[in-house]
Amino acid sequence: MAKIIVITSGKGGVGKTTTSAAFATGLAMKGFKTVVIDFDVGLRNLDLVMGCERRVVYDFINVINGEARLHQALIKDKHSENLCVLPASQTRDKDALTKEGVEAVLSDLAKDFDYIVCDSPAGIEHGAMMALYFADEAIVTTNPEISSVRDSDRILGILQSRSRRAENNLEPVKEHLLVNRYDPVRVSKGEMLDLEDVKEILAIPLLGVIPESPDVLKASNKGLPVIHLQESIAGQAYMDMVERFLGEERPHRFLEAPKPSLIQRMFGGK
Amino acid sequence: MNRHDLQQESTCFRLKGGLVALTTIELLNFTPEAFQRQLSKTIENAPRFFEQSPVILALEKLEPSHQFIDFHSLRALCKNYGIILVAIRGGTESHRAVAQTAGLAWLPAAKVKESKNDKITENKNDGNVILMSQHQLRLELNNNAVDNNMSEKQPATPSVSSVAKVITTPVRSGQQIHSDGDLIVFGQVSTGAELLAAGNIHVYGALRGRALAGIESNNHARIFCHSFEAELVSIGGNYKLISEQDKKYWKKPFQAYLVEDKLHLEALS
Repeated sequence: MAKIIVITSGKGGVGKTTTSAAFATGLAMKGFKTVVIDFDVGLRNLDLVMGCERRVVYDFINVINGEARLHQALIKDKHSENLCVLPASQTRDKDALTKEGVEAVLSDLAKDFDYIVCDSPAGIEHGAMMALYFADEAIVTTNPEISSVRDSDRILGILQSRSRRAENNLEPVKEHLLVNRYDPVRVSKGEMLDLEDVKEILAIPLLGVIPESPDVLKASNKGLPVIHLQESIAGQAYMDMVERFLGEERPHRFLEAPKPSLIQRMFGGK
Repeated sequence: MNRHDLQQESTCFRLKGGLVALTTIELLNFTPEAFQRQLSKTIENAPRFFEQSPVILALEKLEPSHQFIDFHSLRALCKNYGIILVAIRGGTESHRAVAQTAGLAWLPAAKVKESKNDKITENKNDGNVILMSQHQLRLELNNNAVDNNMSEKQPATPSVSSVAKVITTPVRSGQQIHSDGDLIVFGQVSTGAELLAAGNIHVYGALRGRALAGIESNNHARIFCHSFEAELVSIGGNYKLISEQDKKYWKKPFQAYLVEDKLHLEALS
């Protein structure tokens, strides 16, 4: 039985789509058959980050409405053969996502895949509710700033009260915290929330900390999930996170600001 | 106008938010005759209960076929029985328009949740027009019991349930937990979450949200928490927003209670 994992946050722009792409790619690189679904109907982005926007013919909504078969809409990732992308529709409205339709597609996918990763839209409206409703586990993505943390807290409440597992009194959705765009230099200056503060407010297990890195934007623009860049600290942190998710022990890295070298100190550079 | 004048003027009244328990008459179906018949019977049973009491007319469960209700005459009818109809809740646009001309306030429809209690009373009242919720029936019975030996009018005392509600998970931002008795929370209460209890509130974690104890004007209620980081505390409608000067209690075990209608904050040693 496939595991359904939602990448969610409440607030927009914290890196849900980047994380979905990296996480799903990571699972596929580890040998698991993985599909990543874009739930952001009307503002589809995942296909861009995954570099497959030119190959979108049919989408998630077409499948829900019976206008296309599932295998016609699924796009095979060009880097890893275990990975498929189910893109969102750019022209439709979020209301096209029906609970019955989403459930039917998810149960079809569950036959062929080990992991189903749902990339949630921002907010707590219908699209976000549909993305999290069927989840078994949730990766709550948050930035180290107070409004993002507050919105994540709200999403955690919704996960534990309005998801399928909550409504049917099943074992609750398993929660993971992912702190994204963590910048130790700004944390030490007091411009960002400290990791400990975020952990204390949200009080859920920490799955990973992704450091702020220019590589993320560069990779997104190229349509390459950042986890493929093995020399990048963000790519390494994402791989650590995937391995931790799969049950391996990995220490959290990149939490301290790198010490400036002697030459940098002499010239007063960064 | 100088500053002193401004201050003098502002003492004329204070605006206060609060929760007031109101009796609700829930209409299931409606004809004026049947309504009057049942009303008079209900009042016969508990004459003191309704005396000069404000009442809300709820229309959520009314069959959609009842498009027009003459709220003017309904209001007069209620007045004859000593009931003051103050507002309607729910209903259609046309209900709302008629209610407005009759000088009644309009409240948005409450989420209709068919509880077991409602169903039981509905069966008992088979064929009746009005359905009262369990809570009101209980009040009515309480009053009925004291009615015979009391000549003076007795204000309905708020009934605080002796059953405490226990929450074992964190209360997250945007969640609201309500208890008819005490409320005990084992996890943390996040900023933006709200606890409402007719009785006391205990939080065995960090209290970062709002806590309102004794909401049915129970001035003896108290709030206890393990780590005080609250946004607002209130007892019996007397509330306090937490400001810089209250930070001396910050992250400490804490309690709040009323002393002569004044909210008293105290660190628990």
